[in-house]
Amino acid sequence: MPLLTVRGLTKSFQRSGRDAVHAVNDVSFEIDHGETLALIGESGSGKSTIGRLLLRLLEPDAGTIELEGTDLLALRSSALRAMRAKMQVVFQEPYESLNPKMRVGDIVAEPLQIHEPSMSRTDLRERVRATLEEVGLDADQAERFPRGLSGGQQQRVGIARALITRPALVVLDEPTSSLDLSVQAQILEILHDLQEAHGLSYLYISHDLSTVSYLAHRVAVLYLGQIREQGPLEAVVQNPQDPYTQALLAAFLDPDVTVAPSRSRMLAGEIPDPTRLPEGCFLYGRCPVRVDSCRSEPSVLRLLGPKHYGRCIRAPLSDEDWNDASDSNAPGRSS
Amino acid sequence: MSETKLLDVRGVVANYDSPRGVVKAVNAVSFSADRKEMVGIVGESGCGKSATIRALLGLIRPPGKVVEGEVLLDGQDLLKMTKKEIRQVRGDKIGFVAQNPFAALNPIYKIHKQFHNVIRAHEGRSSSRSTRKRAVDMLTAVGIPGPERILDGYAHELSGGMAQRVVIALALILDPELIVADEPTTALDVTIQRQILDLLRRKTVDEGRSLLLVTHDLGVVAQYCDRVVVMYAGKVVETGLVSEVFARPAHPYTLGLLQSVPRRGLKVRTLGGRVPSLIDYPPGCAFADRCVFAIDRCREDIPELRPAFPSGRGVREVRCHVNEQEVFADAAVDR
Ligand SMILES: Nc1ncnc2c1ncn2[C@@H]1O[C@H](COP(=O)(O)OP(=O)(O)OP(=O)(O)O)[C@@H](O)[C@H]1O
Ligand SMILES: Nc1ncnc2c1ncn2[C@@H]1O[C@H](COP(=O)(O)OP(=O)(O)OP(=O)(O)O)[C@@H](O)[C@H]1O
Ligand code: SF4
Ligand SMILES: [Mg+2]
Ligand SMILES: [Mg+2]
Repeated sequence: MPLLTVRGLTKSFQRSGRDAVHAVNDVSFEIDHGETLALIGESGSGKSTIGRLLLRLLEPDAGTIELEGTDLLALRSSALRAMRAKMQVVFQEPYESLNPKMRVGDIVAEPLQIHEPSMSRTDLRERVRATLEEVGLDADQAERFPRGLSGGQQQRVGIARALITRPALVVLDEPTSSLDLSVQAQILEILHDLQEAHGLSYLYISHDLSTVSYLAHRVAVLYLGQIREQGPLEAVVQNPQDPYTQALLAAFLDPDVTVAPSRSRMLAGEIPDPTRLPEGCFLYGRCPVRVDSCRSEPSVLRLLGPKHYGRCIRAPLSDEDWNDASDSNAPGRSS
Repeated sequence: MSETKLLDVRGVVANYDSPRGVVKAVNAVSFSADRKEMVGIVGESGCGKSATIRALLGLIRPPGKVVEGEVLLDGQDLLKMTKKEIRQVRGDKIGFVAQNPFAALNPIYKIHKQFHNVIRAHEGRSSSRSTRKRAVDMLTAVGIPGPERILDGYAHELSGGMAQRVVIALALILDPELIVADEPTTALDVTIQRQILDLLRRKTVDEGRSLLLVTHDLGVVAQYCDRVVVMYAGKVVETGLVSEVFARPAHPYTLGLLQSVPRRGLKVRTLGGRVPSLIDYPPGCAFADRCVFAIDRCREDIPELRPAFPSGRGVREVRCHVNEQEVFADAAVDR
């Protein structure tokens, strides 16, 4: 049985006097023990909302979330609290997610105190010390305040805090995107080593392809709150089948000067307004390879290869499909 | 000697007074930018990239001060100009895209008014209708859908990515010869980032302008810039053609940055430590504490910029005591 099973997750944000934002639309995925699933997609595609739904910081409109076979949405108070210890989160902005008035040691201890209120002070202090060391901080740093730490050290505190309850799953919401490259590399290495040591599972939210290919085993590509393509890292990154995934990957700029950037697969225009979801395929309005049936047929995930799913009805897409598109029906392609 | 470069920065020193001492943010920085050339400036947070750019635009304000150097634009020294003169040059000849787009927009004027004011201040009287037409064209060029609606709105109604594009459009509206952009695409999604970079590249190469681009994204530099300036602790530590520097780094810091990019299956090589305080510049090389190549001399003598890889293409300079062949040999091991 997978560690986490999510089925049909759906969430709209109702706003008084304005149209509802359809942030997450019928999303399903699984995460195995010791596995990293990367959730990639552009800003506003619903990545953080999915993370918050899993942690039950938000209530879904529809769908189910099961952790080791337990239906999380049916849990109330004390059972929910116990379950929360198994699922933790690390946020993007390390400083903003740490209470500036608390000492590092108390910040890290807090989730454990909630989870195991009867634990003795000595045991608690010992666990804090061990966890700080595991993320590469000095035990002495327990006495300091977050303000006095560098960005990378603050993020290590965030990771220590997430790990202290020995969770099975950690949601990592862009944990390195505000950090320098050198510091990012240190954090990724720690996350990788912790996974190996404890068999942790990660939901890794990111829009940076180089970190995704370093950390992820499987990838789900999100667009307008919907998974467009999902599969093993190699399949999705090396052999993407959806025009959106292909454009997203082509937009990635490789620091290796011997790799030329792709200029052929670019999408025109912007992500549509999530208050009005398109009919049929969500990509239709921006898609250079669209055909009429893309709009009339319902959009579903189809099996394309081993554990590899995609929505595009024209998949598999070849270079010729794109070349034909660039001289004919490309919608509003910018010059 | 060849004909003069459009921009020639020579030995610029800029300091900030702080309660703990003088911060040497820009420490004898020299570089140049030619017409049709995109020059990238890279380095970790706090290395003095923004301070360098502000110094050459006459935008350093107390407690900061430019104390030495020349900034020649078409042979004219900007640092010798009065405030009024330099304000005229910024806009007419130099378009500036600041790191924080919201700080660059006026919160109380409609967007159209801001375009109108810029055009009027530099070109004299101009009808609202004609400035509107130009603004619409420029907003369209930077990929803003529905530019008319944006012009009649205010800055706070824009998302970060939209605000960034409005600021880029404002910087380009007077057709400057030199475009200076501080992290212009950091807030943008990858597919939009490519549209903006393509536009900037067209402006630079096809229309014969120069572009100075500060970024932490080595992929952007690798795929778009012609030359690169690597900064560390307020100084230039390496310059040269991107194709040369990225393929054969001569400075241990450049090598460390390139190796920090995570890659599947390779252990990330991390640069330990962090940028030293710019208040007490060390007696030797500022990178020595983090450098795996350091020899005794590195802690005693401050290295000067010197030529590197003399047989390579373009002018190549490095600030390091160790022979560049040795550094490159280490890079090659990784491939
Ligand atoms: N509390 C809220 N109220 C209204 N709309 C919301 C709320 N939270 C998120 N949204 C909207 O839901 C959509 C998805 O947002 P979400 O934060 O999940 O995106 P994301 O993929 O994490 O983006 P980013 O990469 O910018 O973090 C967006 O359109 C966003 O504006
Ligand atoms: N107004 C100021 N007062 C005092 N020190 C300052 C001021 N502005 C910048 N500095 C200092 O100057 C140094 C260089 O800062 P700068 O903003 O140029 O860095 P940067 O390379 O642009 O970094 P980032 O990538 O974070 O934007 C830093 O040590 C910074 O603390
Ligand atoms: S001068 Fe010495 S310490 Fe500095 S970068 Fe070169 S080898 Fe390293
Ligand atoms: Mg988010
Ligand atoms: Mg800066």
